[in-house]
This record gives sequence, C-alpha cells and structure tokens, in this order.
Amino acid sequence: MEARIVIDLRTATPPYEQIQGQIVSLIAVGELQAGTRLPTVRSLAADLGVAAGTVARAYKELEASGVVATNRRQGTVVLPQAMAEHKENAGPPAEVLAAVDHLLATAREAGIGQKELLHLLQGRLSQAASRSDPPVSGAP
Amino acid sequence: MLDSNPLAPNFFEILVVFAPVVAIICVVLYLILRFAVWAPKRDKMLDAVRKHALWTGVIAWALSSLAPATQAGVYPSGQLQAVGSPWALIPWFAIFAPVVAVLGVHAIGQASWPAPKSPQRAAVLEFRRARDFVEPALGAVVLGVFIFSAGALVWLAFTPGFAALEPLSSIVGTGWVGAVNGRIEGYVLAAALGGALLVLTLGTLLVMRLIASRRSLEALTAEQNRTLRVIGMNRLLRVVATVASGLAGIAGNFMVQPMPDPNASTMSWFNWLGLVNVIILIVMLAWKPPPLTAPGDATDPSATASEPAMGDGPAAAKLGDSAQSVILPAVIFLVVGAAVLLPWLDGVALMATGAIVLLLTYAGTELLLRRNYARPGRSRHHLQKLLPWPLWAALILATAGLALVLARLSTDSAMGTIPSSYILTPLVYVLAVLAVGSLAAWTVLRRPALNNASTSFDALLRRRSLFRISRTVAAGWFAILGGSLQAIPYEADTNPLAIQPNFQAIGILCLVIGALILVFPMRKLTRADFVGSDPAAQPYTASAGK
Repeated sequence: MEARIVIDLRTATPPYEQIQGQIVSLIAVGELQAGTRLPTVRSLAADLGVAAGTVARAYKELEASGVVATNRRQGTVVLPQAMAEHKENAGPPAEVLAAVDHLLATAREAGIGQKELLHLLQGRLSQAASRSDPPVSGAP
Repeated sequence: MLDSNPLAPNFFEILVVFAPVVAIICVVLYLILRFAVWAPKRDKMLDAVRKHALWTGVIAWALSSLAPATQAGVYPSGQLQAVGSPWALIPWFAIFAPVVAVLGVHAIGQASWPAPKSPQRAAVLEFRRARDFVEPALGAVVLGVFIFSAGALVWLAFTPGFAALEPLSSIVGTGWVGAVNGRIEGYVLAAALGGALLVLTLGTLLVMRLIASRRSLEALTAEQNRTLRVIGMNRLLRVVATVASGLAGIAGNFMVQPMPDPNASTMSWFNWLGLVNVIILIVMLAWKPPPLTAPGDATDPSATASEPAMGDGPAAAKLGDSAQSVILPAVIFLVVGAAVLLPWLDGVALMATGAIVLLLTYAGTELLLRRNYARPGRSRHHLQKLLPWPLWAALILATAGLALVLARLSTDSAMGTIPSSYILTPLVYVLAVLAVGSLAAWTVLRRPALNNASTSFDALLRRRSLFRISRTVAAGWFAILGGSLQAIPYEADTNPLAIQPNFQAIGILCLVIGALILVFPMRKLTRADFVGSDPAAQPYTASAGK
C-alpha cells in the first residue's frame, strides 16, 4: 500500500507543519516503516506544488525531533528509534484506530466530505476541551 | 522614378534576421501558456498527456539529425590552406546543435507538465530513482551503443590525416584525374565528437534524473504516473542512442576515406559504422514505449490467458512471438562478426548465415509448437492467403534483382575480369537461404492443427509463421543482392554525359531495404483473434487421426 499525504493550502496550518504532521502520523500507524526512504525534497515539493524550502523545513523539523535522518548516500530515511518511540509512547491502540476507520467509513456513507468531517471533529474536540475531559489534550 | 537600393535587404534576408527573435517569442509564449494558462479538462486529461508525451518525442527526433556533419573532418583541396587550422574545419554547430536540441526538448517536455492548481495537493511518499523507470533491455542496448560509440571515437583519435589531392591536368597511372578530398588529423575530430558524446551522456543522465524527480500529475493514478515516466525515459533513451551512434557514423565516414592514390582505378569505400547507425536507427524507431491506458483498459489480450474460450491460443502465440527476440541478438552478432571476421570472410557470408540461423530458429519454434500444443495426426485446414502482397512483391523484386546481377557477373566472368567464384558464392548463399526457408515453411504447413484453439486462430498462427519466414528470406536475398552489387567491377565512363550507374549506392540501398524488411511489422493479435469465428475444436473429435 502506498503512503500518501494530502495538504490543504486553504487551512491556517502552514504547509510544512501539515507535511511534518502527516509523516509522523504515517509512521505512527505503521505505514512508513523504519528504513523507508522518503522522497527527495525537490520531488516531494514538485508533487505538492510547493516551494522546495517548505519541504526542506518539514524534513529539518522531523530530523530535529529524531524521526528521520538525512545522509548523503541514502537521502532521508525513517529511523528505527522513531518507530520504537511511537510504539512505546502513544502508538494508538488498535481499538482507537478501528474507531477512526469506522468514523471514516460512516462519514463516507453519509456523504460527508473531508473538510466537513475535520470541522466536526474539531468542534467535538473543542467541546471536550471546554468540559476539561482529562484524556484529550491539545489541538490536532 | 527612383531605382531601388541594390544593397537593401530582400525579403528572405529580413526573414533570416528576424527568425530567431520570432522563435524566442514563440517559446516564451508557449511557456507562459503552459505554466500560467493551460490546464486540460479533466475528462480529456489522459488524451492530452498522451499527445504531450508523443510530441515531445517526435520533436526531439526531428531535431536529432547529424546529417550536416556527415563529412566532418574531410576537406576538398585548398580548404585547409584557406582556413589555416584543422580546428576551423570542424562543423561545431552541426555536431553540437542536435545534441543540445534533443536534450533541451526532452528537458522542456518534462518540466512543462501542468502544475497542480487546486488548493488541496496530494503526493505519494515514494523515493524515485531514474533506473526504476528504465526498461532493462532498452537500457542495456543504449548503454552498449554509448560504449560502442566511445570505442569508435578512441579508434578515430589514432587515425592519421592526409592532404587533399589537387586535380591533375593529365591522365596519370590508370586514369584517375579528379581531385581527392583530404582529411585532418583524427584526434582533432575525435576531440570534437568526444565532446559532443560527453555532453550527450551527462545531459542524458540529468534529464533522466529530471524524469524521475519531476512532479507527478494529480489527474493520473500512481500507476499511470509511473508509466508516463517509463514512456519519457523510453523516448529519451531511443533518440540519444541514435545520436550517439550517429557520432560513431561520422567517425566511420572519416576513417574509411581512401588515401589519394594516382594509380588507383577506383576510389570506393563502405562505411560500416554508418550501416550500424542505420540498424540502430531502425531498431530504435521500432522500440515502442508502453501504452498509457485508462484504468480498466485491456491492452494485452494474452494477459487474459485464463479465459477458457481462448484455449491454448495465447500460450501458442506467445511461443511463436518469442522467436522474434532472436532478431536483435542476430543483428548484433552480425555487426560484431562483420567487424571481427571481415578480413577472412566476406560480409555476404555473414548476412546469409544470419538469415539461415533465423530461419532455423523459426523452424525450431514451429516444432516446439507442434510438440506442446498439437497432437500428431490432427487434421489441418487449407490456408487461403499465404502472404500479404508486399512480401510477395519483395520476394519477386529480390529474385529479379539477383537474376540481373548474376547475369551481369557471369558476363564479366566469361570476359575474365572476375573469377567464377564471384557468381557461384552468392548463388550458393541464395539457394541455401531458399532451402532452409522452404524447410521452415514446410514445418509450418505440415504442423497438425492446435489441440485447443479455434481453426481460424490456427490458420492465423500459420500465416504469421509464414510471414516471418518469407520476411527473413526476402531480407536475406536483398542482403546478398546488396553484397553482390559491391562486387561488380565498374570503370567510370570518361564521357561526362554518359549515365554512370553507382553500384555501390544501389548495393547499400539493397542492404537498407533488407534490414527494413527484416523488421517489417506484423499486426498485433486481438482478443477476437484468440476467440475466433468458430468454437474451439475439441481435442478428440472424429477428425482426429485422419
């Protein structure tokens, strides 16, 4: 299965953060394995239609947080430590992933678009935060 | 009334002055349209992509000609003294312009795919290397062509130059009176051609990297994007291979120039590297890229081999087509063999041997087909139309040509100007090719019908085999004809108004026709061919064993 990322230039989140966040998510769900070579800065920037500096900054942030490493020979690769960290720390439990998949399937059946779904989720998260539910912290 | 100024530029001079400016404006306008305005409609996107890929290749091919540089390094009497330096005799523009144009067109073609315009952008996280999109066989052949060209240029560097011969005022020796071209020192031309080959190599590697790293098209699937890169790589490699071999062809023309000799009766030569260039050109023209299909399109009927109605058809067709893969190795063997063995064996023998090997391969394939898919004793259907008319025409033309040439050679032999082996040798080759071709055709016609395929498909498969066999026989005969024409002794008529037949040129034309016939294309099989007009005959019917 191919790992894809989708960025939206209309959102307030800067593109480099979207790239960075989605790569971290793909590592977390196991779609990007340790040792996987990420595309070059130039080719990913070309595919996404953004400046090369945007992708370079995302990669730099990922490198700083120890998720990937860049070297001359292999380019940018996913580090094994990143996988281990995600498994130890948060690594979303299987039932949470199943619930997310169920949510996506239900939304698709109901004809709810990606943007609308994100808004709904954002709204619920805000409500939960205002009620100070302890398990959910921070914004997505 | 005032007279017009004789020094004023005429229309064509004005056109020449403004042409580059107009060309630059056109390029800028095209790039603006491509990057800022143009975006094909989504439903027509695939068609637009196909056309873009095709025209990039066609334009690059149209600009790849090295013909103006064919005579590079060769100069007529007095020219070297006029320019002062051998470096000034190199046609730099004619050598480098096609190289730069081919690379430039492909680079622009790759860089000008439309950029994503919607605010939502998607990308597949894949690490793309240039070699992932190179077809292995094509890559190997192109690498071989580059190495071959580089070798020819090294050889060229050690070729000595010689001065041009002035036209003589009186007949000397056996009668040579014309001027003879001179040539510069080989290393000078080798440096120029080597520079072009280096630029071509580095440029090709850069464009290959560009093909791998350029943006994916958002309207295409990941598989289609991959195919599009393979197509781009295919078109680039095919055209650069022809340019590289063209550089070797220029070197070949330079190296075969004869030394001026007032006592020589003829000053003929044959450019073997030029012939290699023609063969590579034909092979590269025929090497098609994979098709860019919409999801759900079925392009390869044999891919659906599991369909019961097709029976053994796809497998049998695949086996028959596999014999075609012998052609390219056979051509390479011939070229290498010709280069190595020519001092001991003539070129005609090599070409006849190549044709016989091919024919034996076809006969062997037919026997394998019989062993695997046809039960001995099964009845055959009578074939209605054995061959298409162009192949009949080629066979008749070759026969007529051979008859004329052999008659001419026998006249010369009777007069004692040539030994009798000049007639006997080509005659033996012609008869040997005919005998092996007849043997191969006999195996096709005598083969029992296929066990599990429709009778119409069985007949079609036979016709395809006969097509290959007769194509090879015709190509072999044309090659022998071309070689025999080279052997005809001819002295130029001193009367300038007399018709001067150029047997050398006609011979080369015959060799080229032979090469073209050898790769004469066959229609592709469709699903309807496999299913046939009648149901598949059952393996054990009443007709079996008759």
